[in-house]
Amino acid sequence: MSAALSIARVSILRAVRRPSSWWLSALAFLPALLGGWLGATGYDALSVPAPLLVYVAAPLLVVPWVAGVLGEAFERRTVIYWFVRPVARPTALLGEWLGAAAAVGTVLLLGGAMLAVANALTGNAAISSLARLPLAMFAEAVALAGFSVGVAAIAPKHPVSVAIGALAVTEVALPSLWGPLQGVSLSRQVLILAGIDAAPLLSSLVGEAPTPSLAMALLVLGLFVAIPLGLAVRTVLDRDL
Amino acid sequence: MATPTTKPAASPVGVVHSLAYSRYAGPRRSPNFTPLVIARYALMAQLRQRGVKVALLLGVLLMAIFAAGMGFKWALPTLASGAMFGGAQSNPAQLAAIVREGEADVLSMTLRTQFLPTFLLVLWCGAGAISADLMAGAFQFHFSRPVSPGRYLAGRMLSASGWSLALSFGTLLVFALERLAFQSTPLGAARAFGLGAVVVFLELSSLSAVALGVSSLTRRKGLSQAMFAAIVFAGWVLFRSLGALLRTPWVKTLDLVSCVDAMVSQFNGDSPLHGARAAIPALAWLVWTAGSLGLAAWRLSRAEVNRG
Amino acid sequence: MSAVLEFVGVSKWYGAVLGLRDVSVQIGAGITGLLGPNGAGKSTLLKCMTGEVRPSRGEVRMFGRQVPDTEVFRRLGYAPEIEVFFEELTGREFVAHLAEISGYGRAEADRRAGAVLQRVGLESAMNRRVSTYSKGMRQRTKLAQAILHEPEVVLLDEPMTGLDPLGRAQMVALIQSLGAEGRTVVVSSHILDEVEVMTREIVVLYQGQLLAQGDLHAIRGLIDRHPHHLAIRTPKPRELAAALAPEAFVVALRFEGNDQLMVETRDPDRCYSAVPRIAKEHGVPLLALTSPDDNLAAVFRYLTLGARGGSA
Repeated sequence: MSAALSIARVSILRAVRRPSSWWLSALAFLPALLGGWLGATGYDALSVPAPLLVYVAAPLLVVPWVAGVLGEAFERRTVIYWFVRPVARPTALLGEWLGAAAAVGTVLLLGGAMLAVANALTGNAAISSLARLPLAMFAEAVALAGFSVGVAAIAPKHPVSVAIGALAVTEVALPSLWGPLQGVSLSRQVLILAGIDAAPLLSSLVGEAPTPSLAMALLVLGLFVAIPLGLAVRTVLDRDL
Repeated sequence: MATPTTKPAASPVGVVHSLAYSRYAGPRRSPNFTPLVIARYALMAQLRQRGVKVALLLGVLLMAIFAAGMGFKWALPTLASGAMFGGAQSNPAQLAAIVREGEADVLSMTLRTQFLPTFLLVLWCGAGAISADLMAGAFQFHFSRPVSPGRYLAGRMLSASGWSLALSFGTLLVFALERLAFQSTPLGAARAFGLGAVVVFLELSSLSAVALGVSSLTRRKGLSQAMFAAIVFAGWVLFRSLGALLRTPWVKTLDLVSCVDAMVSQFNGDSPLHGARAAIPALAWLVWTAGSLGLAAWRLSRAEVNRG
Repeated sequence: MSAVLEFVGVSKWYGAVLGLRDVSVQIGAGITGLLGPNGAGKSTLLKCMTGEVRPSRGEVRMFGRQVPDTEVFRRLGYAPEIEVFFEELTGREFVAHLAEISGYGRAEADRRAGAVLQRVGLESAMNRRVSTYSKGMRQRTKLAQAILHEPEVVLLDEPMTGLDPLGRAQMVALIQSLGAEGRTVVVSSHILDEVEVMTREIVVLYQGQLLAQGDLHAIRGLIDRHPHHLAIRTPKPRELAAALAPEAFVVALRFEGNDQLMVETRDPDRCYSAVPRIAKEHGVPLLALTSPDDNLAAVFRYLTLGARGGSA
């Protein structure tokens, strides 16, 4: 476990020192700015910025941050520095996930908190939204980080495009085919966790939503992590580097 | 052979010490062929990538599914109205409406059928193209030869959209043939095909231009692909939701995808934009396309290995 | 010698490409040079030792255990041929991180990182980010991370690449000191002379096959018994042949086409300096002067012929 924690710590340190992390972090705060502006001009501060944060900003922040960097480590073979040491390969993946989840989780938690505050300041917030939105964003970050680590290990040559392609299918293509397929959408489940009713907006974008269910939301989040990471563990155990 | 030639440079001045050296004085291809050469090799290389094959397969699959669906949609009312096979009891007004609707379908369904494969292919083949060259130092191979940044960019543009173009035109051709078989006159089918070709060109040129524009900003392929996806999806969600919230239809046409959709509505005659506002989608398309290409050209002109 | 490292009938295919073909070799303590031209299978052999790639057939054992194995990794240090690290870290952070992965606590890892970086001569640069390092500094950093945990086996893939002459001398001294400490050090290289200054024990690979193993000087002697070739392109090959025939360094002369003369010699250095002078004296223009033997592949051709009992 100490090896995983060391990898996690270094992962955070490297992210902090990488300029692209700071640029990507800006994505998390743009919806809050938009929410503030909409709220100040008399519109609902959440109905547009929250889906924007959940559906677009979060995946596009997490995927290049995590999948891009880890994919590069596989592709340029720097992972070999870990893999010739007395640490199991899955432990290295676990460390990467922990570090990435902590880093992007913090950024998205802050982004969510700022949006919740913008909403509260414009006077139309339930107090619960102040906690639920940031926590839901943290959960989304953790799930997306696990998903990205998995994709990077499975497809290290093109991790970002594969991850974005997969998300385009689960988040846009399938839900717009048939409303109940919104159940497979991670973002839809995060909105449910956040307690945001974005159904009218989403139905205009990706079709009618199924009935919200907290258990279903947690299950989908878990599957988003478990499936790619499970496949990744099998892949890195068997694969030549 | 009528291969265009460029005028050879003046003979070198000074002493050439190597007795074996003799300068090639035969015909050379015009530099205008350079983009085609760059695109040809890039398209060849792309076809060897599993992701491109999967996206192409997905595109063909979607084409088959939607072609079957549209075939049913067009054939059934025609059969019902008795117009097919020269039926006598057809209602001309009803038939004309059906034909108009069908032709409108060709434009919108071509884009819809191939949107996901097109997005994936441009993401894969375009959004990382310049970044990958930057990372690999491949500019040295291009710009140490008589290749201008403009021609390099044109080559990359063709290679970013080449396979999507093939898929979209394939779909368009199938739809046009179905129109011809079930409802349209040859002229009507040709018109639908022509307008469809314009729409495909508009969509692919803007998508690939933006992909190359963001790709020129960073040597990290993943980052440029994420930026491209952000522009496509964030723009789509943002402007559509803002348009709905502010109840202003023209705002919905400002993003990269919706501006072409809006032009399709205009071609089909069902656009809510009138007067001066009717020009907004075209302007938005122009800003996205020209702005991105300008950005890429500017970045390439500043590349260190460029001879300037 | 008792074998620390053992390959038993190891073959490796990359799809249709053969990386290693039925290699069986034992490597003991001390420095062993792993030689072969590019593409000979040196890196594949090293990667099999580290578990980076799995043999398609056969077994690789280290300390009697089959790799990859966690216990083996505690006793193994590896400097790969790649020149990239975690570029955002400083040299010290990078090495300390890998020490932590090797099982040391943070304080001990940091202490070891400082000490080992000092040993490889990076004390003044250890707190700079790796992204600012030169090629030579990167090679030293790779060596530092490979030896920081006092491994019994050290595998070095092309450790001289990118080093200037002074850097090479320092690297050689470091590697020799590792060998002198009784470790098993395997150094891969495609440059014969580079390995020669470090060790006499070599393993020669060619096209994925084990070609020779043993004392370098014995193998070198086998090579030197063969004549070397020199190809000369000239419009007057017969005039040049007549001028060169009396020279003592010439073993044989052969015409190839209308404009090429092939010279066989046992003294290539003298031959190289004499041919242009003699050509000038006799007014014969030279278009090209090349040696088909001037590469390691030719050496391996000789080795193959020697092994089959043939003569060139």
